[in-house]
Amino acid sequence: MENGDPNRLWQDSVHALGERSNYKRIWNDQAAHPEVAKLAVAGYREEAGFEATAADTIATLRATTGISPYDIALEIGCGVGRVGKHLATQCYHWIGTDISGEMLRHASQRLQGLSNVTLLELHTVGLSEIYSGTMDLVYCTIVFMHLFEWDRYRYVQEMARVLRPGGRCYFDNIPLDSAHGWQVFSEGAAYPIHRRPAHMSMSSSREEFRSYLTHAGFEDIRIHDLPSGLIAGTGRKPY
Amino acid sequence: MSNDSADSVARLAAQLDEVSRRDAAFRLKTAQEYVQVEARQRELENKVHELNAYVHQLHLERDRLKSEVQAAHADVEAFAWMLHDAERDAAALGTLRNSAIWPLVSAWAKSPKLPQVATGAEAGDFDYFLHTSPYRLYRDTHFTLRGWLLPKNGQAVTGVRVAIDNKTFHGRSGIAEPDVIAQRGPQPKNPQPGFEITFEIPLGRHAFSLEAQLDNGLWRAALQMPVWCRPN
Repeated sequence: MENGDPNRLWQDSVHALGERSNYKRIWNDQAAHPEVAKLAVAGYREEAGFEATAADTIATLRATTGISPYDIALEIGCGVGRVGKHLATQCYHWIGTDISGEMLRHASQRLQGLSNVTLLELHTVGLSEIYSGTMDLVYCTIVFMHLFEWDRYRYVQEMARVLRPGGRCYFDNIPLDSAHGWQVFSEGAAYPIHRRPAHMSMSSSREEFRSYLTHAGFEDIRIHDLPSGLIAGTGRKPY
Repeated sequence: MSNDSADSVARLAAQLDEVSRRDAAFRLKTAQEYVQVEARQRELENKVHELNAYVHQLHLERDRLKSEVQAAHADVEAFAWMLHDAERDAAALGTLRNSAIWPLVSAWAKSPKLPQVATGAEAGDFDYFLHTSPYRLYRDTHFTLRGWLLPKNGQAVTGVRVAIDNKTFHGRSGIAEPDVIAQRGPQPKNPQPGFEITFEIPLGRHAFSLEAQLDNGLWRAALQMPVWCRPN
């Protein structure tokens, strides 16, 4: 990298917690360079790591929501296209959305050559760019920890809107009541108040996920404990 | 299961696949068209917002110009009255000149003269524009003059001031004027040619001088003229 150590550049690019709601700015600033973007979305840069965790995520989706070759799948917060690169080969069409245009710029590089892929920059929290009732599967992975609770719920509401009847949703986060979740929580608590970074991970609870799904009108609501230590909420839009 | 039944199931499965594929294709087309429509709609909304902001600016500008026109009309009226007074005084003076006592009073009577600018600044060669025009009758005892100026020889301006008679008021230079730079091209020594000077003006007629200090330390006058202050 021509401009120094990616870890250092990443540290330099973060904003204070008070800026957390300004997702577009926070994530555009963290995605100015492809290597820094990878660190910001995954915490590592090696492509092999991206391949392995993408396979895990797809296996999780297959086990929790199912994946059909005729699915139009939409990812909220696709970042550099970690999952989409592989999921696109297993579904009819994959739509990667992100609030950061910079992230999508890197994603378009990684997904070159895939014909059934659309990348879409969201102008704000929500999926207002997507027509109602058109998606088969909407998922959001390794994103909710960076959002405020209101915005998590807004995305769940939007999932319900854009899914076709019978369509499935999936989202995950770190649970507070696990060893990993408590470690993440403790690391956050250890920050001096004025130095808390805007993208700092914030955990969820099973009750929180169940409430989101219930209030958004999903049925067949399930909360999954994943081998990775995350919890996932899934539901189906009623017919 | 008989061969016929197996064939029938396979045909149905193929038909179901085809329906699923067409359903997905239709929904994808709908979603993609909507993305385009939505993007166009947001673009138009932004454009409308931009135009509304511009119209608002024009309204503000129109109101400001109306106020200036009203002030100018008031000034014309005031000047007309001043002229009327001067004609009356001139008539009185004519009468006085024809009187027997004129030789006695003419020895000590002096015509009022415009006060001289005490700064002694020589006239310079500037391009300038004044956003708040001094070509008016002052009705307040304080006035803020805003504008921009550029020495024609390209020298840097390091300071600005207004002289009212023999009193000087220093202002702020180096104010951005993006429209001027866009119109006249880069000004290496004066990238921000704007200025702002607030000065006091006592009642009556005074000598006004707008002056700029150049990078050689000398003050040069951009504009010199008489002004009047006559509050309502």
